[in-house]
Amino acid sequence: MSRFVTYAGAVMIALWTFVPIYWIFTISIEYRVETQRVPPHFFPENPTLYQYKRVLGFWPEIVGYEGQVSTPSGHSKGVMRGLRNSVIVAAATTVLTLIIALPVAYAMGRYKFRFKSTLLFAILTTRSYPPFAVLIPFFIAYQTLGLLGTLQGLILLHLTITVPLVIWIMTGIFAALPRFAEREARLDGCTRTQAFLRVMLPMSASGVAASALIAFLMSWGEFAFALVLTGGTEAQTLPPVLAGMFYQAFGEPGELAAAALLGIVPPLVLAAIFQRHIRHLNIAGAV
Amino acid sequence: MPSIRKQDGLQVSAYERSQSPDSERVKAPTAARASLTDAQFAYILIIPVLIVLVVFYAFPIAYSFWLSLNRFNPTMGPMKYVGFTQYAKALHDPAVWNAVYGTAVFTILVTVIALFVSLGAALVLNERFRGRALLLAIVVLPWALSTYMAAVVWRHLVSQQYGLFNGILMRLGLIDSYVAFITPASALFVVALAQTWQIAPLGIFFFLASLSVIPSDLYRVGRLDRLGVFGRFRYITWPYLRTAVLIIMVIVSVEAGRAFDIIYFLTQGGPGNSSTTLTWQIYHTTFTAFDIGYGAVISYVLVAWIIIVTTIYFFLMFRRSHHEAA
Repeated sequence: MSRFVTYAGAVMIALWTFVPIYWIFTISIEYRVETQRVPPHFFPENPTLYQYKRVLGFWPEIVGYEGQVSTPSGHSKGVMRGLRNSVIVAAATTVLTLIIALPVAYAMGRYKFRFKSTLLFAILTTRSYPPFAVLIPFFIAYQTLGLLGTLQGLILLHLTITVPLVIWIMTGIFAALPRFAEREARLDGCTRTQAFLRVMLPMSASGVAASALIAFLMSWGEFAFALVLTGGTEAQTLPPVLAGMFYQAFGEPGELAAAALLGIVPPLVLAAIFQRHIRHLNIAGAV
Repeated sequence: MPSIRKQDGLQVSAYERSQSPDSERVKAPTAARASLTDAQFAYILIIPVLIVLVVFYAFPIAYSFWLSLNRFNPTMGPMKYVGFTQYAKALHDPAVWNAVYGTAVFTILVTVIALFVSLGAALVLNERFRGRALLLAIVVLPWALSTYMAAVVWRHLVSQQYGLFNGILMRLGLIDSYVAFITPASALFVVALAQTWQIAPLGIFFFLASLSVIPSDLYRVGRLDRLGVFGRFRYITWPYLRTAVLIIMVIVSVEAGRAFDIIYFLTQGGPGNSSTTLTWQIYHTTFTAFDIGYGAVISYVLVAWIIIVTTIYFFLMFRRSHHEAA
């Protein structure tokens, strides 16, 4: 490929990826009057944290465009509660996923027994079943059980998505560990459980970190279950809150942009924390 | 998904090869207190979780089948058994066919656009150039955002009040006033673009991984044989990419069939019902019209759609590997 084509392609890829994100970020640091100016401008002239301050709601009075004083956004309470609920749901889902899936993956990856491939395949098929096909029965069952509009109910459903996935990822990682690892642990006097907890699990720490991040991201980004089970209730997570803002807040683009961008902070923080471990995973070539 | 089943087989057999007959059956002197066999230990770890998983998937499938046999609308009165009549109704329901059509068009658009975008991007990123590492790092961003975030982002691009596309067109002098990008004719296309934007990085990285295993010697030989850019692609690159392309098509098509967030955030199935897919039809029937039994029927139409799509790919793959073996 000629140099020119390569660089032209690289520029196009950069624009395709980055411009949409740049645009929503731009809107989030503008005053409303500037966002709605026609013809538009592509670089904010007076960058401001005004929209973020309104959404966060920590300040009773916020100085806005040309010194006008504004109160926190009407959506601020909802957004903050949505963020809190999303953090609780995603964190609980992540921890429970690891507790439930790791032993299963360990057994799948390290031990020989009958029907193993069949079981693994059965677990995988759950992934291709459309969530929408299970949503209705869960909705009715939850209504009967009083789980509608609860964080526990949503966590339970998110587990049905994350557990099969993490079982799959970790089975491969456990299977790739050196084959005499347990044997040596057992010779040193460990029981099987101890060998798993003290030797094998630390050896696959990078895979566990990657799985934790994936489970967190899946739960964090899940929308359909969250909308149907928690939408409009106290247990509402961030995605349904944003959806609600979409269809109420006409003419407040900056507020929505700021709220949406606040929603990518927790996954980014987690990714930054785990990044070192996961990079290590690539080097180890365990995946 | 047949592709992954194949992988499953590989993985298990690779694992089994790594296990010499005696390596696992350790009878270490101090471990004698463990009276379980390895298989028993494995079953103890697996079976409880498996039972719960089966319950969580078998129950809803069975229960929604039962619901689909009933006329059930909480606003209209108690549940009433009607047998398969609602299935018959669905077969003649224009709204259902419109949703099937929407799902089909959406799936084809997303699959085709995502394939071209990710293949093109992977071929570029496979070259050496300055800034490649940085570009690799940012290319993954849309995929790291969740689908609903992608929809939020795209709404800001196509908006009629503050959209970037309108802004660019106006700056270029092509329009005098902002136009609507989401019209009955274009809604599905806009939604498909947004979905593609989110899912393309998956294809890019998958294709990059496949491209990286091609020995560079082959290209040197190709040049010696006077193959042009397209010849080299056709005879050297493509054979390495074929399987990856099919796998990505399966993943993207299934994801497109299940897509809901993007439609909810961008168009709500509209204008009119121009961007209504099966997922939106299920949502609308069940949670807006409260026609729960009928919603369950349509959710089986969606299941049928997914099965049909994966079966087509399965045969494509099977035929291809058959062809290859011959």
